[in-house]
Amino acid sequence: MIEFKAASKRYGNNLAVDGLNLEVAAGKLTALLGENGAGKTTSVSMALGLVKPTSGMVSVAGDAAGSMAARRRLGAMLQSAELPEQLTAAEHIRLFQTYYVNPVPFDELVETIGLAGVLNQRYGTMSGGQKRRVQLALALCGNADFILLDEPTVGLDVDARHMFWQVIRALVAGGRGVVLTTHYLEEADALADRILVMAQGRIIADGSPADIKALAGGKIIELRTDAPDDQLRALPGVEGTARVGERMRLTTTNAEGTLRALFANGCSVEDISVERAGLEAAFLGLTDKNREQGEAV
Amino acid sequence: MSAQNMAAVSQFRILKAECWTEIQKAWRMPSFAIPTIVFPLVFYTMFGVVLGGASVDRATYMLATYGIFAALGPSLFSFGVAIATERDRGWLEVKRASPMPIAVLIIARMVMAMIFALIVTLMLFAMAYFVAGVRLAPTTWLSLAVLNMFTTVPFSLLGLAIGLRVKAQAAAAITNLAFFGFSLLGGLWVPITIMPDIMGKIALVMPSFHFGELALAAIGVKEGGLPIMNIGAAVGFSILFAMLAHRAWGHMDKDR
Repeated sequence: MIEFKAASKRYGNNLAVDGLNLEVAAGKLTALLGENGAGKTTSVSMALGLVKPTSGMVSVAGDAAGSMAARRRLGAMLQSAELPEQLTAAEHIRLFQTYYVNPVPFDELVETIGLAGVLNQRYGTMSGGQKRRVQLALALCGNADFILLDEPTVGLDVDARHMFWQVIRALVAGGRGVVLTTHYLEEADALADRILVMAQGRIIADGSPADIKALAGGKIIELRTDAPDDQLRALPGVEGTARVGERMRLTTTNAEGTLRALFANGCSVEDISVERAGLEAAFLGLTDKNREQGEAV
Repeated sequence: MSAQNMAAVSQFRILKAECWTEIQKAWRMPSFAIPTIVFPLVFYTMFGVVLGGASVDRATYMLATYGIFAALGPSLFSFGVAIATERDRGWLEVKRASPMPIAVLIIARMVMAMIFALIVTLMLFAMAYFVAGVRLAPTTWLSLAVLNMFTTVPFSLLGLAIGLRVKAQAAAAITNLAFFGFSLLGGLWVPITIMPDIMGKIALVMPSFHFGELALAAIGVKEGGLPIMNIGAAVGFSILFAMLAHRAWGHMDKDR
């Protein structure tokens, strides 16, 4: 189990992660979902011991994050890490395998990740997708208990992404605990047992993909009104509000109820449109709501 | 086998694998291999052997100082430039997150720098012996080779301090400046004694100068027994560079 206990990380005035409490279980995929700057990468970095929490603690199977015992249980694919260009894929993998007590057999790994064709090619001459495969191979080669994947499929084409998904599902089925950060809701939905939505260093939603999708099953209302923002936010079903030009955008789980209450309030309401929210919009709604609350404090 | 033994065994395997990897990486990178191998050989051949009339004394003298020059290249470049580059590219993070003791990486690089220095030293020896006709006692050859190899240690630490502190492009500039500055001002290319007096004073604050003097003492050019002052300065600079590297290391951690 990877455990975050009230873990916070502050950079100057910026609280990158704010009191994160989280337990990542074996045999499950936990997705951290959020925009850039939400604190996903900092959280992963704390689990790896690359970033020391300003307060709180992070441990892996009871050992402090960053200790050798903790690192032996982890494999990781970092978001922006380029391998030395002069070495071939095979050389990179074989070197990394020496770090672990019980590495995955070389041929098995190459087969799983589909690296056979580029084994003797130098990293510097590979395409973007091939490079990502080598990075994934380094994350998996140690047969570690937990695999941390920080936006692993960014920049991949559809085929490669599905190959990655297949590999990740097989890891979870094999009992590994996987943490995946992504800003693709589709990806979190396709893979995760549990989705945590992060914004501004905090977890603003935590649930199964079905729960998160239910949140996303709502509607988006856009309208022009003289009602103040706090009144709009107090309407039944409203999850978030945002100003879009002259109009207000409300994210709601109950469009009919929201509108009925709004009319009953007697405010002026013009130029209404109602749309299905979809995942992206629900997610934006959640983070908007959080941001406004954060600023109000 | 106890768990501790297992850890010890695997760490030795990691060190071996890292050393071999570092050598391969260096060998395949022309921007590293050329200044570290070609420069000392070509410069020694030109200034020590060919130009200015062939003289065995001159070729012997220069063999000592160019050997130190040969030690500067691999240590400064493999640490100063390569560490900064790998840090910029996020590779150092991957290593730090992986279950390898990061000290092993530093040691592997030092071993690589030593091996490169030894290879170039042996090439210089061959040039001196076969072309210039330099003849030294076996123990003198040996002590020069050992001195050159150990000279890589303080300069590796200085390179590490640079590589951990600044971005890759700045690191390349600073490292080149140090490489050529130490060589010229430390009297490794041209003897300080034939330069203006002021150069002799500047040389005293150049770590390279003191290692060069030790090499000259090894071949018996310097008189008056053990060069205590140079030994003291070499040790002092080594301690200074170790401290700089240590502080740069701490700085990197605090940064995050």
